[in-house]
Amino acid sequence: MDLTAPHDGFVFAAYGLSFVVLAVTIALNARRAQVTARRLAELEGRHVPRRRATPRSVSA
Amino acid sequence: MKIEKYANPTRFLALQEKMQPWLTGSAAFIIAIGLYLGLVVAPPDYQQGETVRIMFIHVPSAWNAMMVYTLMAVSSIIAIVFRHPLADMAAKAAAPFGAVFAFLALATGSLWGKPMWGTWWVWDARLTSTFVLFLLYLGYIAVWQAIEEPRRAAAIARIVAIVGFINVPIIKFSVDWWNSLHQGESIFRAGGPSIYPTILWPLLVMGLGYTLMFFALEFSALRSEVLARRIRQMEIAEAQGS
Repeated sequence: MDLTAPHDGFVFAAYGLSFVVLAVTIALNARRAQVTARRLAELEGRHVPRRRATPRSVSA
Repeated sequence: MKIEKYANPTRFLALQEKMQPWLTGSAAFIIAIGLYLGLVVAPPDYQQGETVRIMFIHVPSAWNAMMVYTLMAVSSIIAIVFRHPLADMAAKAAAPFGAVFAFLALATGSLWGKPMWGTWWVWDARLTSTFVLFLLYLGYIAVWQAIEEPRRAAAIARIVAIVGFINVPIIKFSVDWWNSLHQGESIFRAGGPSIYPTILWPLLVMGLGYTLMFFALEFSALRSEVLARRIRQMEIAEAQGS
């Protein structure tokens, strides 16, 4: 790639913007995975059941 | 082995754990090759010069934006017809990534349009329909954010995904149906691609890399969705037990 060609700034801006947006997306996704796993481990550590012990009555 | 087997969230989690490193690694590897081919090997275009290199990120973003919405619509139909427990979660997890790809397609297209067309934006059919796709993504995400009860949110979100899908073929054929400043179809067309192989191959490699990146993100986000649902069930059980 010729780094002195006209309009190179538009190419750099397009690649830079894509890199930043995708990096933030990946980071947010990883952060959410981390927070979710931590919260689940915390609840499992307290032996919280996944379902209520006595199911609600079906009749209204 | 039946694919339906993985509609079971627990089985999906086991599969995801095995596949995640491979998906992430292959996405990174293929994108690295695509960047090398696109920025180093590919020659400048005889008319557009170096700005043609924007195509290697603009077009894969646009392809993924349309593909992700298609997957969301298919997932929504599966959720209605087969009631697979993962279908709604898959569509919900995919939406933010589709919105990101649609945004990048619009933004990089604008950065390509300014030096080539002399303008950042025109309200022509291709650009406007892609902008509508971006708004559809935001609308779909807003439904899930605004409605607290997951079943009600899912029911409305499915309708948004299925009805909004009509926009995908409009984007694809907009350059054939209407006069557009945007260039015509040059890859998936009758008679084969009109792009020279030295530029076509980097584009196809980047397209594959972006698609793998989406699936790597989607698998990870879907895992978070499954775990978030478990957390919600446990929090309700805990609140009712106390």
